[in-house]
Amino acid sequence: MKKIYTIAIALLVAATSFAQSGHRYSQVYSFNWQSSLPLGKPAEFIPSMGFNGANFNFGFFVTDNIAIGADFSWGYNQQTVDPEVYNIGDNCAVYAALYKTTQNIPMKAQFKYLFNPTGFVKVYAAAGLGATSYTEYIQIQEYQFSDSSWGFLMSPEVGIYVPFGKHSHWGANVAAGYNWATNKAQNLYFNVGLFFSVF
Amino acid sequence: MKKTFLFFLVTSLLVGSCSFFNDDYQETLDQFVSVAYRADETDFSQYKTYVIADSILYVDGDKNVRKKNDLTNEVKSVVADQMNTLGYSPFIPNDPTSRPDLIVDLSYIVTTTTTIYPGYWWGWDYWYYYDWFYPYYPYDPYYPYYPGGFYPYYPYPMYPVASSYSTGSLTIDIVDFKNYKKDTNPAIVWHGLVRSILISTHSSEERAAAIKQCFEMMPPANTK
Repeated sequence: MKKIYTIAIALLVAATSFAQSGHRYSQVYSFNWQSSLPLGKPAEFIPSMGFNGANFNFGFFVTDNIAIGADFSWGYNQQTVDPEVYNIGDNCAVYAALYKTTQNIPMKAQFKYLFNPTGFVKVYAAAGLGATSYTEYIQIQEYQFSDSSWGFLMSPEVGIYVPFGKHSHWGANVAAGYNWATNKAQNLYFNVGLFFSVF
Repeated sequence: MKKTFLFFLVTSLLVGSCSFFNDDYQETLDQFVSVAYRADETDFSQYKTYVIADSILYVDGDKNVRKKNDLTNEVKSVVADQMNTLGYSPFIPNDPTSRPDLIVDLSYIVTTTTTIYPGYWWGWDYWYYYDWFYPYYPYDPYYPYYPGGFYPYYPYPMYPVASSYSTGSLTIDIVDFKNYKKDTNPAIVWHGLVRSILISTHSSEERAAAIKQCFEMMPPANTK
C-alpha cells in the first residue's frame, strides 16, 4: 500500500515537471490490474486486501478536459477459516474449515476531468455512477453457499496517465478510488496498468 | 471491433459471476468434515450396553456389500473406543432374552455420483434380507431376523449440508434397540458422518481424530 502511495506521489511530481508538453487526448482506453481493500460489511466477511482483479476503462473526450466513458471491473478475494465446530440447531454439529470468497463486478458510466490536458503526465479526477454485483461464497467441499446482491454504485476516483514517450500512444495508468454501493460492495480499489490514447 | 471486444468482455464478466470455485477447491474437497446428530428427547442414561457390527457396509454405486478388512477393523476399533469412553459397555449375550441397548452400525460410501440423504437408500433391509449375517453377531441364534423388517429412522431433521454423502464418507448410526418393538421402526438416536475420511492418503491418526471429533462435539450421551 505504501509503495502505491509513493509511486502516485512521484508521478504527480513528474506531472508538474512535464507540464504543458503533451498531446491532447480525444479517446483513452486503459487495462488494469486491480487490487481492493474491503470496507464495511465485506470486511467482516473477509477483512484482508484482495489482489485478484482486472479493470477496463475507456473515455471519449468531449472537451480538452472532460471525458465521458465507462468502467468495468472484476475482482475476487479469498480467505480460509480454520476448522471449527458450528452448531446447526440443537441437535446437529458440524466441524469444518470454511473457504470464503467474495466477488465484485462493478460497472459504471464515468465522468472524467483532466486537470492538465496538455501536460505530459495527466492527472485526473473521475466520478462514476452505475451498478455493482457482489457475491459472498462459502465453500465446504463440493457444497457452495452464496449470497448475491446488486446495488447502485457511486465511485470517486483519482489517477494519472504517464505516457511512455512524448509522442507515444501507450503509457501507464495508475488510479485509486472508492466504491460506495447500496448493497454490501464497499471497497477501496487501486488500479495499475496500461492505457492507449488517441490524440 | 471495439463494440465486439466490449461485448465479450462484459459477457465474460457476467458469465463468470454465475459460479465461482475457490482457488483451494481441491483442498476443501480433501478436508475432513465431521457431522453429528443427536436425538433431542432421548434419555441416553437408559442405555448401558452396545454392540457394533463386525463389518462395514460398503456402498459402491448400486451395490451394497459388507466387508471386513484392516480398514474396517481400524474404524470399528476407534468407534468402539469412543463408546467405551462415554461409559457404554460392550454387550455380552448371556441368555436368549437379553439384548443390547444400542446397535452401532457403520457404512462406507465408496462412490456415489448423486446427492443422497440418509434413510432413503442404503436399505436397512439388509437386516431383513440377509438374516444369515446379523450385523453384530453373525449366525447368532439368539437374534433371528425380524420378519416384519427392521427399518430404523432418524427422529430429527437432517440438514442437506450436513447429511448428504459423497465418495469416501463414513457414517456411524446408533440405533435404539432397547425400546425396539417388533413391527416398529427403531430410532437412530445418534448419527455421525465424516466426509472424505476414506479417500486420499489420510493417515490412521487423522481418521481417528475425525471420528473422535464426531463423538466429542455432540456426544451420544446425556450432556445437556
